[in-house]
Amino acid sequence: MTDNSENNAQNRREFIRSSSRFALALGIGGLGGLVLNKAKAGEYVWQIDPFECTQCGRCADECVLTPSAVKCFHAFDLCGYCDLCGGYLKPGAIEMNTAAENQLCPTAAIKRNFVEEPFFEYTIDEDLCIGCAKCVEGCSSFGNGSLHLQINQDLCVNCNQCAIARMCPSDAISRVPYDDPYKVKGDFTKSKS
Amino acid sequence: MSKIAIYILLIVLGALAAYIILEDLIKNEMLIRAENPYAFDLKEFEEVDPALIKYHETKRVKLDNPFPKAIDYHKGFLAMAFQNHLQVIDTSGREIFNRKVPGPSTAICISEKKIIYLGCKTRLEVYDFWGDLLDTWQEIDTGAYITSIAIVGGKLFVANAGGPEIIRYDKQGEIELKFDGKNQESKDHGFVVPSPYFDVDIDPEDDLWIANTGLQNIQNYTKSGSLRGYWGNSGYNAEDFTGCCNPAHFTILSDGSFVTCEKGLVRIKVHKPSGKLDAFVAAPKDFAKNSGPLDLASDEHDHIYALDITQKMVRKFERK
Repeated sequence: MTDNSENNAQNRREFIRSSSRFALALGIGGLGGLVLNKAKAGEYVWQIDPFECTQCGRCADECVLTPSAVKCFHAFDLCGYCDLCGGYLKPGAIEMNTAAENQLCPTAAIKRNFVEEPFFEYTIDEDLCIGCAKCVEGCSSFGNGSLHLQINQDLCVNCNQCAIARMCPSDAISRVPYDDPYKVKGDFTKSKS
Repeated sequence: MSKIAIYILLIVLGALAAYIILEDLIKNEMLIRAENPYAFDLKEFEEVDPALIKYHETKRVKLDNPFPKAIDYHKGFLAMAFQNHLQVIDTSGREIFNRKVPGPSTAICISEKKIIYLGCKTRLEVYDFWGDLLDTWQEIDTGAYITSIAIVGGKLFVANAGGPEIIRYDKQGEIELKFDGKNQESKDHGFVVPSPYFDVDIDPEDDLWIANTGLQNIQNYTKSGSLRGYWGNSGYNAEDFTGCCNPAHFTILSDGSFVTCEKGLVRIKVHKPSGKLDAFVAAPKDFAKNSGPLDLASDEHDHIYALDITQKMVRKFERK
């Protein structure tokens, strides 16, 4: 009985050890496979050229994801930090403040923070942004064009044929190398805002 | 199920499939789409009361050089700065000269003695009236961006958007003074220049006026850089300046009235010396879609010359 118990205990330990090894191997293999798969699938990813974008609004509607993987990015080095911001305030806004009726963004995704008189900083809440480009058009029309659209690669599922690229009237969306996946405006802002 | 019923069913299914394919083709492939629900709509502000439009366009001169940048008028001649060219024409459009210059040109001004001062982003170049280079002044600094030049009493006032600051030169190119519009006592903001639109001009009383574009107003300074007064409001109404960076350009008429041009909602207006809106020279509909702002000059008859950088032409406006 004792021998049998020891054998059983050994078998259990061996089983646990084997299982652990198998799980570890599976995990490492799976991770490696995922990385390999991502790298292979991601040799090229889809991205928007902000200088070709005409702010048509299709990025918000045509993406297979809801909300769209297209988000507004902010090149802070281009921004004028204006009080009267064309990307934040509705044309004809009654007052220059954060009241909902004065905001241009349909989802209030732009946050306005006071820096020092008379400057304000504008940041994007990506969870709220739907990629409609309304702010981009306002900023391009009146400001320096620091607000612009980019496909957020953390969200994009990298479809074989990007549904937005297919519909883009200005052919602003194309495949870019996986290791350089953004076309962010500005001389210094090379990473996501 | 009878054969006829099957045929009918197949025809209906076929028609449905054809409808779906056609609809997709028309709506998507031909890029016909319902109105953009997120459109940035400025139509309301593009409309101008016809009674306010007191000028009409009387002449257009097409330009051959690419990238027009700035314009100035002096006694029957228009001097224009292009990215890498300097051109002088008379008011009929006849070319006097057209010279290649190192550039990049960003501003221009002609003196009473027909000396042309060309702002080349970080430095000034001096040309005679035949386009020969007389002098190159020392670079301000690598971050400088000269946007406008005005001359009065033998002094040059140069607007540097890179500062932002106004630099006062003597005629030999020596810097006499720099000022940024700030006043420690009253804690004025000084010049707020979010983008390279920072105009300066002289009125008939030889007073210095500077567009503080980030604050949407035009300010009067003494020649030593003290703020004396200002006018202008932020907003989208006809009498206001939209943001940011407006008025992008202005010139002053013989009675001291200001002619202003705005970016974004491109429009040219005349304001009385007090700042009260007097008239529209041209409404937004008179310019190309996505037009940039037009640099302005005026002659002794108060005719207005606007440099249309988008359509590459000089447009002359006269009061009706």
